[in-house]
Amino acid sequence: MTMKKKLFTSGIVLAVMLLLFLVYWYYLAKPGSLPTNEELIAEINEIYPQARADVIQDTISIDEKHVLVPFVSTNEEYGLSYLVWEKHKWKVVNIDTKGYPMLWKIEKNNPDSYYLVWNIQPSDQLQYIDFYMTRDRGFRISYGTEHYYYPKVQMVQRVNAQEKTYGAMALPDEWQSFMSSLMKVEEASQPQSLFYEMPIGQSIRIGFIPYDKNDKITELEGSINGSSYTIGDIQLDFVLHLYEEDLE
Amino acid sequence: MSFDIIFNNNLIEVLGFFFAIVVIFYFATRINRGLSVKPKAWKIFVVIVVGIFSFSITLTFNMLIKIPLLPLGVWLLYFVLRSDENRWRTYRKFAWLGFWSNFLFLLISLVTIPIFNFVYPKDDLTTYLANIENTSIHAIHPSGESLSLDRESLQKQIPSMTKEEINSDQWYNDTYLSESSPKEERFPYQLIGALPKWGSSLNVMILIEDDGKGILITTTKEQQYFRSDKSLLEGGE
Repeated sequence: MTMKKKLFTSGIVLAVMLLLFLVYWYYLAKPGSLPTNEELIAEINEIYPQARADVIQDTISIDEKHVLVPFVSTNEEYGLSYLVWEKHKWKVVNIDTKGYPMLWKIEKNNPDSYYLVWNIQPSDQLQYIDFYMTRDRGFRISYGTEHYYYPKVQMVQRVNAQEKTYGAMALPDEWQSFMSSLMKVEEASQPQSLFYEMPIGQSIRIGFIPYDKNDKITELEGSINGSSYTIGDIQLDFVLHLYEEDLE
Repeated sequence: MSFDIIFNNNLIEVLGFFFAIVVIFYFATRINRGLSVKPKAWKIFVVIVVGIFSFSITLTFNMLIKIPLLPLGVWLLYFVLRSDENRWRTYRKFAWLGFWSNFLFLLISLVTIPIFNFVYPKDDLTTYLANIENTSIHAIHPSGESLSLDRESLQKQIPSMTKEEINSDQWYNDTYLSESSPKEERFPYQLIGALPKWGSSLNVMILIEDDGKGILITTTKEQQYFRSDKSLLEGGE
């Protein structure tokens, strides 16, 4: 081999090694240790000064790369920040100044990765939350003869909020089963397209009813009307406050 | 482009795809035999693949049908190879083979549907419940009781269960107009863990009726409703 060729070959080898290393470093490497509480507070306030984070209540690991951080602000508001391990860094991707319940979808069309998250103001006197998955009853007749019947879905999961007013919870197994079979049927019934993806599972609603210690529905007045700030790739859905007339 | 045929990956479509490959390979060999200068195999492969690219119109009947119209890939190859007339003459037939294979894919996709329906009959419960070893049920509505699946009863009754009409509007109205409170859902259980017939790669949602004798199956295209003589559920406190 000539000198030139040797140089050229080793250049390519180096470039490939560098590329492999970068892929490893940014996408495959194990997450590092979480930032300290002080660092977290500083980062939250730098990204979104209105959050006025003061005390970190907890760090709840959803999975290896996703962490929920409930915090209290200087003006006694209870908020949530969402931490994601991305490109070899823990990043705050979203901040809610108030922790009204939300659904964090870690992977878009995978119900196994959906988490209910909340951080309720203690003055709201919350005792427990009933989370609901519902879907309306319906029917459809196509071409006069093809019948479709959709049953009413209403599944409930009670969560105690007496001791801890914040938390993160995966959807119950039964919910996951129903959701994923519905999504698979809907997904497979669509014509494939590279350019457009139809949303699936839209008929399912996630809701909740909060109760106080007298088993009365509370309004969570201290936890509504918060604001949010998103700076990353995150899918958060609202969880609807339901009332008894919404249920069967 | 009908390569997506392989991504739907039920057994019949996969077999159809490989059949198409065999046919294309056969014609490529025949063309090659007639040539005095034999091009390298990988070059033939590339020319055929590029030749497949085409502008097509998509018609929707019960399925999507793509009819290739303009041989874009062939034009592209001509544009690239035309400077040397001999070279173009060598590859021309392979390029057109690529284009014509679109029609082969179309033909195969038309044929696979009736074959699929024959191998996996829509109105046969065993298509959806081929293996029920790991099945269980859970309630999806408060009117569902804490019953469990009587797997033995289900296994015994699957062959004899009959397909019935779905009266969706009536079912809906029965529940909607009923005075009972809380309302009783007609299909308050979901059956999970059932495997469809091997190779069908069917995705279905299976619901069980409140009397334990009906199975409502939602496929990607339609719903099927089956009834049994005896209940498929057992237990309950």
